Amino acid sequence: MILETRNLGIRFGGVVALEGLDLQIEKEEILGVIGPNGAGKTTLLNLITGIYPPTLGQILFKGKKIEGLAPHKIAALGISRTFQNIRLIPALSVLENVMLGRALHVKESPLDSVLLHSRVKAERSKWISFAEEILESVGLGGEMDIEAISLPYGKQRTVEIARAIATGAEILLLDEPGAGMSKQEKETLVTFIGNLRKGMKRTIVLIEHDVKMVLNVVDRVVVLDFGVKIADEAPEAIKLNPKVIEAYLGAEAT
Amino acid sequence: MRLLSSIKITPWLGKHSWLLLILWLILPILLRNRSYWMHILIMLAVYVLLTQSLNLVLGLAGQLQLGHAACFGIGAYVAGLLMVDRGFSFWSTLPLAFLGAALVGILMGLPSLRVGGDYLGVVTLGFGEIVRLLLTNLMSITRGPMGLLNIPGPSIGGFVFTSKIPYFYLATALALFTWFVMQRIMNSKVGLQLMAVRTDEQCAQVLGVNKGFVKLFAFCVSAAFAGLGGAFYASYFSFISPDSFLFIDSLIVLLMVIVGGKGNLIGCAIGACILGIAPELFRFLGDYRMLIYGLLLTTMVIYKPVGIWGLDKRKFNTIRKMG
Amino acid sequence: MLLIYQQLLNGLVVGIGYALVGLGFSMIFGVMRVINFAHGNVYMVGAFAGLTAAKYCGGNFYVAIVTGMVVGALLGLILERLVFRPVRHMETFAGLLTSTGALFALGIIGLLIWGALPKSYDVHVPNISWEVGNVTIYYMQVFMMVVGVLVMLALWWIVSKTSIGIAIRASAHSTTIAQLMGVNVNRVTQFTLAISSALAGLAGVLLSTYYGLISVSVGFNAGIKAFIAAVIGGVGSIFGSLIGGILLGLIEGIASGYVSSGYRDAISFFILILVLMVRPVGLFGQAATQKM
Repeated sequence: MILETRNLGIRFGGVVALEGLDLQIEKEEILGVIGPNGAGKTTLLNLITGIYPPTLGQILFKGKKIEGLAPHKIAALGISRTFQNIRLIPALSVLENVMLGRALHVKESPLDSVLLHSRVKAERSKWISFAEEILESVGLGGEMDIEAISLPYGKQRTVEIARAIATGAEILLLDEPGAGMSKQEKETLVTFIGNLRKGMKRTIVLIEHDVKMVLNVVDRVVVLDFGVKIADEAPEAIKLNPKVIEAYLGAEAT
Repeated sequence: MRLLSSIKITPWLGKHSWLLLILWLILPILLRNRSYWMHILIMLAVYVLLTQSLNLVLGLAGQLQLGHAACFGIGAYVAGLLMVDRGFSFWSTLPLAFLGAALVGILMGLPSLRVGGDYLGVVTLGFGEIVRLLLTNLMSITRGPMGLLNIPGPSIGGFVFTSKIPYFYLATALALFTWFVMQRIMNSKVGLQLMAVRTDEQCAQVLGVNKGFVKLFAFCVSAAFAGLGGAFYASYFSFISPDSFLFIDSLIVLLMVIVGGKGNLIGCAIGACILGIAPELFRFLGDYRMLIYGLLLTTMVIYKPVGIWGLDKRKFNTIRKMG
Repeated sequence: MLLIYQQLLNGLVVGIGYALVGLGFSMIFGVMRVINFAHGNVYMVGAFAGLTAAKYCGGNFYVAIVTGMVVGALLGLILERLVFRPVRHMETFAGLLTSTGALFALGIIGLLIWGALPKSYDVHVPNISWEVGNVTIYYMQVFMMVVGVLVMLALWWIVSKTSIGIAIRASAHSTTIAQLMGVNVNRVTQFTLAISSALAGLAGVLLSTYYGLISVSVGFNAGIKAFIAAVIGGVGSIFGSLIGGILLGLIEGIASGYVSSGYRDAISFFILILVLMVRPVGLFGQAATQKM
């Protein structure tokens, strides 16, 4: 089990965003997290990545408690994420954005940056190649040197995922990666996610609104509604789960 | 603004910027060493140094630092006092001014860990004012409002700096040194991380950036180089007082960075030169200059926030060519 | 002992003045998330406007007050339109910068109109005083205290009971959501700036009358005091700004008896830094209101 939450809960003032969440995620699993708007899906990601501490409960990564740790420490441990609204850094190129993902593992102190001696140059070469390889593998090899935010939306999404991969994280939390994509782009994305697991041996947690898309690629689905887990089953079973159907009011679950 | 970018000469200039440098270096000869113009050139070099250093914290890290003049002033006082009271040579005060200002920079940067945006601006302003008030009131150390007199000039071997020419080359060297270091920092691991923090702190953190360390770094190094400039200033003017380093001076450097181009070293230098020359060219305007500065600041921020030569002109992947 | 009471009373009065400026400043930040650097010079312009109007009425105090408030409000509306609205959508500290530009511009305009020399503030307050124990309380001091309470009540009523007040609170929370609910954000910012600037003008007239002096350079200091008062009390909190201003005035009043006046300004900055390091949201501020 690579990631586990025990009785995880958080409240903002009077609003209970998550309550009593018990979650177990296995290594190299693809877990889907679905639920109506406001169900607490993004909040869950925010808690795991340390953006705010939970009010209750624990989060364990590879057996170690991580709740309350600073986000950059959690990232260093091997958890990475993408955001619902794509957050690429403007004024940086595609390559530089992906390099940013890898930066935390690069041994380059500011003094090194100024002196630029041969060890640092070698480290830099490795850093740049690393990012280039990732970009080649996601099919963006020809667009590395242009400004990241000038790419079309679907490709920006890919860059963001590439950046998350570059952090070397074992577990990738993808927050609605399919948002705003066409049917074709979603199919490509689904294949890509499958490859991430098989080829790169990552664990993936996928938050999505497009339930059909999710059911195609995941091993298991967790359904949240009003901050509470209402189902935790295989995709086929989820489709027939009355509680899930009710939560969605029959809109997309069928 | 549109005119500047459509002038085809600018890409040519970029590739042949060494020509500009040569031109700059022979300007004293071209201007026949006239004291008035030499002084302006020296001040321009100092302003370039100040904008390059402010850019690190303002343009790259995106933190509003309104107390930059205080860092400059600390460097000046450290150097000046060491030279006058302890007989240090100018060169030996340089690293100490650097470190002293760096320390002040870290102190100024601490609030940035808790607050940001506009709030931080006024806090740094407050810090700057406190520094100035301390300099004014700790008379036993600093001589107070009367200032510090007779600060000696630098000397190399037996050669003592008397005319403005050696000061000109020294100022140029310091400005170039600052530019060199900043250029390397901008295109490095910490440089990318600073840009991430500037854009989106949360996102930066999630990518493993220790935002506290990175912000303090920016404040510290920015202040340190300002301190270096301050040491030069003390020696060049031979006289400093707390009133040499006012909030208005912080604002002028800020204006230079904003007008020239936040986040872009070339832009900052352009801003420094334009706004450094302007007071001389528009001397006849007297106090109206403040009005112009005010209107210029407001107008630039509203209509061309990126500056004359800002981040939109940034060359991607310079880091590749360096590494 | 007597001296302490007198100093406290002075500090209280000055503190209310600080509170009034701080209040406006706080409102602007609370609603618009922007530091209005020009606020100090609105204080200055309001004070001068009051003086000018009073000159034609034999130094009438009330004329000065009303003029100061009206001119302040008008200036606030101009600032809203020219300085804040164009940059409202910008993420960075644009508003602080544009208002700094306005600060300069106003300062120079002030210099051109009124000159650089300090002037005597010829506004006459009824020469009434009361003896309480061994302490003398003057009309001006009582007036300020009454004004302070009235303003507080009026603002509280506006913000909680009127529709514009609700609109203000909604915008403070989120301009996007407020707009979706049909709030005219322009009206809200106009109203906020008008009220805040009127208060600044009021404070300008009151404190200038109290000190008996005015000069164009008071603007910068007033702005700083406003910021500190707002931060101590908690930006965005009406009651907090009142407390913050009064506390600042009291501390300064007591301190001025023991340290040189040069350090007095430094004290306010020290307090500022202390508050910001230890409790950035201020005494009564709400957390998570920062635009980082």
